Amino acid sequence: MSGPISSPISIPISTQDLARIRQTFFLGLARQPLAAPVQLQSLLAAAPEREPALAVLAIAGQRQRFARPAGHRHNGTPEAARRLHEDRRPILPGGARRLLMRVANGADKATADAVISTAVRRVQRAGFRLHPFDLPRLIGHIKGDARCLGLAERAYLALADVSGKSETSSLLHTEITAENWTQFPKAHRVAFLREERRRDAAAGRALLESVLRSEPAAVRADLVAALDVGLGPDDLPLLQGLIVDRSENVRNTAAQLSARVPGTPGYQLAAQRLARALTGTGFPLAPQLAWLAGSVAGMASPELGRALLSSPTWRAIVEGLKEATTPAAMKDDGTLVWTAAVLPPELLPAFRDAIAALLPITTRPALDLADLALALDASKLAQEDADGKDQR
Amino acid sequence: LYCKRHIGRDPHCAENALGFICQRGLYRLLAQAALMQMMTETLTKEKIERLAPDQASLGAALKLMKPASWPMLARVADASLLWGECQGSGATPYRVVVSPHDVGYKCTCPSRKFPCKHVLAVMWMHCDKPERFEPGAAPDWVQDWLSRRRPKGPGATRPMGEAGAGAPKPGASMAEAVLEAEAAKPADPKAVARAEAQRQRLKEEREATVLAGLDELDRWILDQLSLGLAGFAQRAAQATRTLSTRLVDAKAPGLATRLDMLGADIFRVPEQMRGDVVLERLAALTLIGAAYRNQERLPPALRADARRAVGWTVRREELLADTAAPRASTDWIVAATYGEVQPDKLRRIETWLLNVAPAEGVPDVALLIDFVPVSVGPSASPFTPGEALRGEVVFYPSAAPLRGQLATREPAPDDVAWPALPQGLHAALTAYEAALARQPWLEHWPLAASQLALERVGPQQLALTSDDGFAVPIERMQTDALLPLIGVGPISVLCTWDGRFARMLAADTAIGRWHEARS
Repeated sequence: MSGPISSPISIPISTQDLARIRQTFFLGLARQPLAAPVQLQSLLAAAPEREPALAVLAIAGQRQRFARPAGHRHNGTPEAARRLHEDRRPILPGGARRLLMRVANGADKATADAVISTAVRRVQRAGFRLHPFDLPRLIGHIKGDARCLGLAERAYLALADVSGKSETSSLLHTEITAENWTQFPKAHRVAFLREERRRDAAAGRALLESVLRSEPAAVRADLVAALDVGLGPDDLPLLQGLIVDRSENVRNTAAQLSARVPGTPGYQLAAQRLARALTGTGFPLAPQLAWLAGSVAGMASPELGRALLSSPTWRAIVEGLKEATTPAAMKDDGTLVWTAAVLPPELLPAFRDAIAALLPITTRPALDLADLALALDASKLAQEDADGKDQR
Repeated sequence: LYCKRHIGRDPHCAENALGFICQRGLYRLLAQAALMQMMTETLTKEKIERLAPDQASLGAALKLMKPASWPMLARVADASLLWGECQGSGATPYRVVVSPHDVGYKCTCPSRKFPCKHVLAVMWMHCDKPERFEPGAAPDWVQDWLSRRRPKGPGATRPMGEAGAGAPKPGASMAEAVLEAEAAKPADPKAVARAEAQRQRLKEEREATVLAGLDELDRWILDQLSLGLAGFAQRAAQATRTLSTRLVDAKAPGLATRLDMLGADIFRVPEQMRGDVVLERLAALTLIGAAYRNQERLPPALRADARRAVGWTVRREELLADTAAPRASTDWIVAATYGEVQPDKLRRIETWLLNVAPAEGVPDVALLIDFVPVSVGPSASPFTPGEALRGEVVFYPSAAPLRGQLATREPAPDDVAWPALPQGLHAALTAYEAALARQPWLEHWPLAASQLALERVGPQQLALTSDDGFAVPIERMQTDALLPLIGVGPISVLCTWDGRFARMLAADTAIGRWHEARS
């Protein structure tokens, strides 16, 4: 900013006099007696009953209030802000946006991050991006989940990071490439690898494999965690190879990632736990559904969805909620929310009917999530129609 | 369980059960919950009488039954939810929602009676004149209540504001309320004259007390000047609290609040600005004092400003009856809602309205303010930022009219366009200076301008800039929320400006509207 621009309002007191008066008042009249400027003498004489210091204070204060703010020279738009608005995915339509915010505002504190991340992943799967104005509210819940961070979300993180140390800020630098990425700090490399995975999962994996052996354990674990983006069956050979890595961190990361890919022993074990939970033999249902929502599929097949809705465990939970007589017992333990999160859209109306008799306080977060999924489905179809028309 | 088994079968038996529970010293709460369950699916007058906290509430509800008090009354198709808006004594209408089948309710008024007269009036109207409720879809604020309300059932505790809080008062009678209303006679003229004389005497006494308070304020300001403003921040809390208490005693609560706010506000600005902020605020207090003492010499509008700044209030009815008060009947966009707890334990709830059809001589912006005691619990503006309304705002007489009361309200069209605002900051700042010249102790003033950009001018500092070379810094607490507006293209903005920092209220951008909503 440059110097102040003078005000068009005229008050009979010069800038120098104002500075002197200000200094006197700041130091205190006990230390430095007030010398009223000559221009004010006649004004002060007109009201001899008033204390001159108060009259001078009033005029000086008012004179200051007319000082205009400093002028400004444009700095140009920061790259992060430019990228934030360059994201080509369509912005989430208004109706679905309101539902997403209702999910965010209604989510239970303990599960808010997981529920909101699940909802945002659903938004991303439908091909939309979050409205930029909602990012300040949501980013705290989704920034830990790389799958929720598209270009706009990462750009917002970079914009909000005034220290410039955020890993996301590196994504906005053009100089990092597959040739020189190993020379960058770890956070930058992880961010770059995630970006590569997002662009081309196989190329990203190849890039990782090319450096994995030469990296220290701490770096290896973080780089392997970047496979989180675009995770799929093609990554399994690499992940299974890492299960015998000498670093425990790497082994754990690889095991957790493989358990999310259908067909792996970890996945099957979790699926068995889910099956047992559905028959009410040993495992609580909500955590198993949460696992399914976080898996690569992210959603139950129609068969599994139907099995879930007709399972004795699920029905017993709904009946229990119906019979509950205390606020604590009426609270959803996560079963309803996670059911809404994993059900395919075609089963959501049946889900809504099944919990219609429950109180809104119990069902509202789950219903909001279900409504969001249905709205996304409708918006996606509308978008595809519109795209089809454009192409025609 | 004993109650549950008997309730709904034989009312006498149920009452015996309640008596049994109460005699045994069991929880009153249980008795209330059971009583609520006694209420069957539909509302009857008998149930409303049981719910009413006292006879006076029913009398007050009866007075609210006029259609004019309810610009909006609606229900869902099966009448399982009723809602309405009632224009009370606040600047914004009270929003009432009732669930007849389980007698749940919510009203945004600050009454400490549960249910309040507005809820009772809605229930009563539903019994007597159900045709006044238009069928329709529940709006967002009703849905919101529905989703947040606590479940009701035996053993369930009920929060304040929902049916069942407070013991039932079987003494209240609707028939009696009607009889009382009919029997109400015009007041005795002599009694009216006596009351008027008494009011006049009290007013004169207050004038004298206020003038003494102003003298004390002057002495205090001189003390501060003598000690020096550079060190004011260190002694602000103690110094302002002592004098503000005395100003409350001197019946000048407006000045007391300004002084209390000064103690808090100086810590919201960077350290290097604090001395200047104190200087300007003390100067404004001095000006108010001088204006009040010389109010006979001031134009009527500025005199009204001086009296309001000291703490004299104008009742809503007086304002609406004032034919000289500026009025604007138009479509408005609810630009922002903002709630803040004042040091006097009142929550100030601001609702900012933007005139969508600006015209010469009509204010472009209206500010509705409601004050609600903090002890009432969480409360917020009944309006949602972004919604549109059509209505008449009556502004308090002022040299720079801004604050007003919503006098009438009608449904507004769904898609209200953002108004065309002057380009650049120069015109907006000039309007601010003109308002400041007319009303010298102005605290803040709305700036409305288009073709602006939001830029980062420091690590945590954003500013609104325009091509004419001006920039106004934004309050730092808004930085995170406003980051997505950087680089979004030219924006059209409504913000408030206090001469140092702007507070964004709303912005119209290429990707939609941004609204401030803080409670």
